[in-house]
Amino acid sequence: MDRTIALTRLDKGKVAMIEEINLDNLTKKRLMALGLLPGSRLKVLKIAPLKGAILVDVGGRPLAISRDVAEKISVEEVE
Amino acid sequence: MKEIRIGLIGIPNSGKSTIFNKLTGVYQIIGNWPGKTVETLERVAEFKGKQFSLIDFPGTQTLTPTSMEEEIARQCMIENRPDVIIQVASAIDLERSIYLSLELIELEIPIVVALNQFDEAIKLGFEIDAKKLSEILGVPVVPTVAIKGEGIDKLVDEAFDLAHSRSKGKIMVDKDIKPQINKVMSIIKGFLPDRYPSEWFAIKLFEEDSWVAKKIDELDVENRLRGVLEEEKAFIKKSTGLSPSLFIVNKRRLIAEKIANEVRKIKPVSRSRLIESLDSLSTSFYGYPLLAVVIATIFVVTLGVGLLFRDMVSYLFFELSSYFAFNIANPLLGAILSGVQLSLLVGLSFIIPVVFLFHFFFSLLDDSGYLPRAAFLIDKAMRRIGLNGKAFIPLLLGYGCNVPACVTCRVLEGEKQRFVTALMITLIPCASRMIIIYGLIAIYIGMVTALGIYLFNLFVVLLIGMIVGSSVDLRCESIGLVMVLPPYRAPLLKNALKKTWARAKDFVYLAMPIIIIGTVLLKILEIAGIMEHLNALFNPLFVGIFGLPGYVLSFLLFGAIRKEFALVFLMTTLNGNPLSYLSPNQIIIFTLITLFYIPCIATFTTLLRELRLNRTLIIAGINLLIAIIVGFSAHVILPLIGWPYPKRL
Repeated sequence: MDRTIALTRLDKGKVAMIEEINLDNLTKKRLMALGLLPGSRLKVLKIAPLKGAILVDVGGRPLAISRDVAEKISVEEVE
Repeated sequence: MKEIRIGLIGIPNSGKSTIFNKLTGVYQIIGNWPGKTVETLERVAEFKGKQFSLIDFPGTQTLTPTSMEEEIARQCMIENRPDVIIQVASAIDLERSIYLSLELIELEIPIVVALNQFDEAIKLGFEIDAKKLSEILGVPVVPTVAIKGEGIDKLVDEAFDLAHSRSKGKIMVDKDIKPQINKVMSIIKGFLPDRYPSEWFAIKLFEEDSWVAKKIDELDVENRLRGVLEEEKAFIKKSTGLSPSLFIVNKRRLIAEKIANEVRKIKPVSRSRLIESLDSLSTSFYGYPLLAVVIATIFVVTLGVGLLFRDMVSYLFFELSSYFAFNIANPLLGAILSGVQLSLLVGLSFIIPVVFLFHFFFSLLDDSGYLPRAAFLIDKAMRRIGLNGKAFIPLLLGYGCNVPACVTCRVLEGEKQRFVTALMITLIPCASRMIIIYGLIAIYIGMVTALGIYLFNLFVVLLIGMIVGSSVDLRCESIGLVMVLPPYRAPLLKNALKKTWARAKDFVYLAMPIIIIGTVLLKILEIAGIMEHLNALFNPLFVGIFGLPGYVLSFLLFGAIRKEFALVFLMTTLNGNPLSYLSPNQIIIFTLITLFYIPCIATFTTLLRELRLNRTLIIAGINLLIAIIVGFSAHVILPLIGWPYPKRL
């Protein structure tokens, strides 16, 4: 069963592993340098009200990501 | 002996500016959000008897540039190689700091790592083995607490030793693809000038770095490079399943994470309840009213205290002027004396309290770490315009002063995004224009109208952002928000005061003398009868379009130097009593025009540097057009709706 979903569909508090990032290479590199890369774990800390940006914990630091960017990040929930 | 050149670099929020200040004694703005060092400066510095030249690079997450300031940082580092680089690493953001260390080591410049914010890391329960980190990276690592000056001596000593020994760290990213990189390196090596590190160039060719590819093209490297490069790339892709550029970035990140986990032990600690709840409040739904309250408080307190101060100063001036009654027969001398007196009164009572208070509050806000949280909340709305949440920070700073706000646009990704944001900033009423709103509207018309003008202005700013944003097709270029939130920090009063002074001192040293001289000149023009000519010349135009007397043109001309001059010269020319010369409607129209008509000289020159001539002229043109439309509409509409209400007098 394929359990891969977009990061935007994760609820607050959920932990997931990044499967794939479907963005242009430059944005992808930037995300990777900040710790968002396939295989790394993240936790959804907060979703801005009114379906806004998403705050995730990566490597112990909070990272804010626009919703349209988060939509392009596929993750698999682990907990 | 040749003076050694030390470069200073670090990821945003690592405390780099603080270390810079300790090394040079110069006060540079420190704030708690990404992107303060806005220019790459080289200056001679002296620390405890050691002389060196210090190059300050803007804060950068990685050496793969995505924003203009990162591009500047990197080019400067390669073309203008320092002897040694001090990398300010953040002990609370170890992975990202190590990532940058790895990239710097690849550049083959000797580096020393300042493991800064060591005290904050301990508070967060991080125990970091600096010695082990140093062994793994192969470079010296010095734990520092920059804000208290701890570890700086050792850091400078290490930098000096390193400048002589020139020992470099170990390049690690090439481990699995060494043969491929070596092959490319052997081809380009003979063609690269000495200052270019050949392995770094080879790695960057695999990373498909556009700047490096261009450099290699310019160097006329053998034709077979292209074929070999493609072949080796294909090999990496086949054996790893990833494109080479992503493979390398991925690898570097994994190495950084592995090293961080090896040298760091994490002990669970409980965070302060207050900070915890403040953090969760400011990013929740209640963050919106909180943001409104924060901004409203700044404005209300500034205006309130400003009004109080003005009454005190005016009273003092009245008392004093009764001692020095000006009964001077010589009209020229009389004009000079009354000019000086009026400009001092206006400068001291109108401007100083507002400028200082406003910058003080913004400094507190800046240091606290609140702004990136507001950016997170507001991201969705900014995406509607085509910008991202990060653009909110320069826009908000624009309310303080347009100049640093425009420079701050460098942290934004994409040229169009920078252009649209800069345009919006020039329309935002900075502290100088706040003085006009306060000095003319709040005092003579009323607080409700002053507030209305702010709201109307905000409406225009957003409207223009939307119109221009969609006409330059912003969406196709601007990437979404990806931003690390710094932790909340209690702002230090000392820092905030220093920063206030750094931002407001221009007014005391530069603006005040110009105000005095300009006022005296205008007074002389007045007694010489030249004002009447000017009046007559522009009267038909101004009366026709805006319903304003022609002489306001001279105030607007002065306002182009600094916006508050428009108010100051209006007040001094009209003898401190505008209502006896202008109707309330005329005052509103004049104020509206001053909000929009042109970026002041300082903003204009900043824009020239940031965006080049044609875009600066486009921005100035749009400003003027808006001013004419708004001024004319106000002239037509205000009498129809019977504003201002309630009428004074």
